[in-house]
Amino acid sequence: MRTKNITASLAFLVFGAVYAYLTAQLPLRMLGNVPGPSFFPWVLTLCFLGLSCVLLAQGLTAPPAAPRPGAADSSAGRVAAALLAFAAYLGALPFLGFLLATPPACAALMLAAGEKRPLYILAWSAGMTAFLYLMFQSLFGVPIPAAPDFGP
Amino acid sequence: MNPVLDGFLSASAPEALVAMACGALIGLIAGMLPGVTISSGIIIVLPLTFVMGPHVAISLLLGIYSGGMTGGSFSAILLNIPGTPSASATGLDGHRMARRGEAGLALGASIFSSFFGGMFSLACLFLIAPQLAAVALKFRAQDLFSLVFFGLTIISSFAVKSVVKGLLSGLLGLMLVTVGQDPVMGTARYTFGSVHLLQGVHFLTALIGLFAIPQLAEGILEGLKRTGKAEALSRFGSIYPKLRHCREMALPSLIGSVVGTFIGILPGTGGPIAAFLSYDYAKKFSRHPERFGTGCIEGVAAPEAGNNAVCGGALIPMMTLGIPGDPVTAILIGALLVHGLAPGPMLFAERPDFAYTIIFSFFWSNIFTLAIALLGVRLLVKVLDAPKAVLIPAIAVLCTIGSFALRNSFFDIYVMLAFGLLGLLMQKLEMPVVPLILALVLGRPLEENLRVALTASQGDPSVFFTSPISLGFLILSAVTFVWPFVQERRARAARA
Repeated sequence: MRTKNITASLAFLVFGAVYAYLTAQLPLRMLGNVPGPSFFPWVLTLCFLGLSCVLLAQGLTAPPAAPRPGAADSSAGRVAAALLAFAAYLGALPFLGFLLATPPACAALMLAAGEKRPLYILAWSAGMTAFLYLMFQSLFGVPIPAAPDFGP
Repeated sequence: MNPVLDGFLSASAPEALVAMACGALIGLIAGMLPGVTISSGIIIVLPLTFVMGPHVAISLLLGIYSGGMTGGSFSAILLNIPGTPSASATGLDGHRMARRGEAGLALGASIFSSFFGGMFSLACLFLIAPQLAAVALKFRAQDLFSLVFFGLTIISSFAVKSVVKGLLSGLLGLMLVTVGQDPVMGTARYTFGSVHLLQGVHFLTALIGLFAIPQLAEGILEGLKRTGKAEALSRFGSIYPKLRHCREMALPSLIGSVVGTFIGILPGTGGPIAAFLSYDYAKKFSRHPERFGTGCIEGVAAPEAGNNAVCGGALIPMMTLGIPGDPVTAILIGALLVHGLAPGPMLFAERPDFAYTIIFSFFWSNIFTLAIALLGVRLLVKVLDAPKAVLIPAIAVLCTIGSFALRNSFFDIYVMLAFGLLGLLMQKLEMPVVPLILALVLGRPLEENLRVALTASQGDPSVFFTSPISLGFLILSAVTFVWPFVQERRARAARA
């Protein structure tokens, strides 16, 4: 808890400082005695920075936590791999389009989730892509990310 | 025409009924699967609602809401793993009944008492909501500011573990809402010259990321785990309670319905609290309190009526004041906004027909949930054996489609990812996410009403204290904010 509080408060202090800098660029008042666009953000900034300092103080004064037995970290690697695959999928979507980008992403996510049967992965990835495309784009007319150059 | 009749006809249109039936089915499945929340179920179908008429869209979403609450009890009874947090209390007696060979009876009791709770809260919604909306129409900017501020004090309910972290999470949400054009003068703020950021962060995109990505990570961690017990427990005999069972269920169901509806109206409380309180009250009023916890039907009926009654109760502040009581109603507000319908006092004034459509859709949702649960429970419980490896890619792709379809923008997909990573980070740092979500929903009306009130009063802040309505809400906010901590302190003192 101690380390987490210190980490969180430091991250918040940096975020709050950047937010304050950007807020300072905004006009405070535009008409006489009426609050301008930066009024509300300044209120938020002050509260946010103040509370971040409180959290930092809580973190620094808290007793150090007892070391926890090391958890198996293969699952953390799996999560990271899945998130990377998902981010890569989102990055590839504008270029490849839904029909080309989705099956490999599904396969990667299934692998990350522990599925090992290649045929099952192949069939499920392709089948789900086709089903979702047909349902959303063809049946309901929901716009699906299209590719500008090639793909659907 | 009469808005009540209009609302009924609109909610009873064939396409709305089909949507409700599908919603109830999806809700039952989503609620049943441990780790898949009702919010996730709603988010998954969200993109479909963008192309539907508003009455069909709300029918689908209410079907999921109602079905999800009932479905949560199935896994609680059969596996002792609650599908939703609201079903936690149901497992106390439900699973013991299942182990005794009365799984069918426990499921039947859960289905019927859920239906009773839902219908009871519907009657309250029908009677209270129009009156409350009529009162809310008289509110001025300062009253609305204090009302929204009161809604934000819900944060304290989710921040008992660390008030500072809860407040920081809420403030972070409010800061993120300030991105884009300011709500009064239209000045660009924190946009870095980007046209996409000028429109601000669409809070549905943010919600999709905040809910789906941490769930995706959780699913990966669980891997290919199969529960494997559902198959064995799916041979559970008759689900229809006998007359003597109905007599035993009557009082606990009524207690649960009253408690659940009341708890639902209060912002920030929700299903789990309602279920446990209903269980506790039913035990106190029972002639045989000693039977509770040993696998009695009353112990299933009370929490199930309680958590389903929360749905109708939570719709009251959502529809009349525009205040979401929980994450599900926050998503419902977002879904309605996409269709140009803003829940709040003006909904009953400008679109009374649609307000009644929501009420009657909830009525039909309860009917469909009952019918589908009774007819399909034997098939539905087989879903409990579905491997996570199949669900994870489906959730990921559906969230991508949902984020894109909101505004046909790839930018929103990246915003969804960014919020998802933020959600994961917050989880890692033990920061509550619900305050952030509430702030994303309430941030804009909070700033808008604050500035309008201050502009009208020439910058005089006393306007918030001289209006009796505003002052009342500010006092209520203070009480609501402080109360959970007083309770926590008392509990700690009692334990010590």
